[in-house]
Amino acid sequence: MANKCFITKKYQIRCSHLLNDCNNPGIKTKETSLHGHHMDVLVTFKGPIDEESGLTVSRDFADQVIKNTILNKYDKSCLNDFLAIPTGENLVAAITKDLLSSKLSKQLHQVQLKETNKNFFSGPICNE
Amino acid sequence: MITLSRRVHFSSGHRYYNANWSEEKNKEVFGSSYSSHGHGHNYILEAQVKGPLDIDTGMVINLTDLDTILKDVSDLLDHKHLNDSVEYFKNITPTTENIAKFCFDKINMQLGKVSKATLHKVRIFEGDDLWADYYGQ
Repeated sequence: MANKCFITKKYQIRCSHLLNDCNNPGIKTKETSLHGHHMDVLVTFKGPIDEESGLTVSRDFADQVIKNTILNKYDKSCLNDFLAIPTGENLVAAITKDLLSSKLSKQLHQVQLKETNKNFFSGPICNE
Repeated sequence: MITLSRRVHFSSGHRYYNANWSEEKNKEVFGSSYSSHGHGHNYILEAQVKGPLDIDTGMVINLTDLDTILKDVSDLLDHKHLNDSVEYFKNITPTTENIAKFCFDKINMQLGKVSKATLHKVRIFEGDDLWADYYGQ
């Protein structure tokens, strides 16, 4: 693909979660009560640079799809409502799955999630 | 193989605009990025080079050489209105993507003259929530 470029946009979601309610002896965590994070969601798109517009992806279109698909769903939510085990790993996988069903599915490269300054998750590479 | 990333800052104005289109089409395609006179950013150019580790210097590339190249390239854009003052962008919209390509091609041309390291990627931050990565052709 000529002139392939990767565009990353950063969004934020504020979520709560509780891990020790999962009845899973494999989960070792200090997170014993419901708590929250202000997370960065990095969505990377890929594709050729359009010769006329100079864009790989329309900024407004990406914002609209992300807002409708991800932000409206997860922002200001409790992740336990969506995920049986609401870890960062499962969240990045769920967001990836949601976007692969959206109008941006063909351009999606990867979703990454910064949960805290110490925790960062990278989802699978899509559309390889 | 080791990679090294180095950053340089530049401040430029630009306008998301295709002169071959009507104003309506420009507004439709570029949406909130469209503005009648353009706007500005404090950009960050991050170049990632890769190469073997020189056993004598312990370096992939001498940072003095890399900084000289990055300054030469960023000076082409710094404190300019890209659409109006940079020949390359007279007919190419200075989107984040096209700025990344421009910088990659310029850096790549000079790198081979001073180092065995190769240019792996250029990342252009238009803001802290939007960046483009270009890996060359």
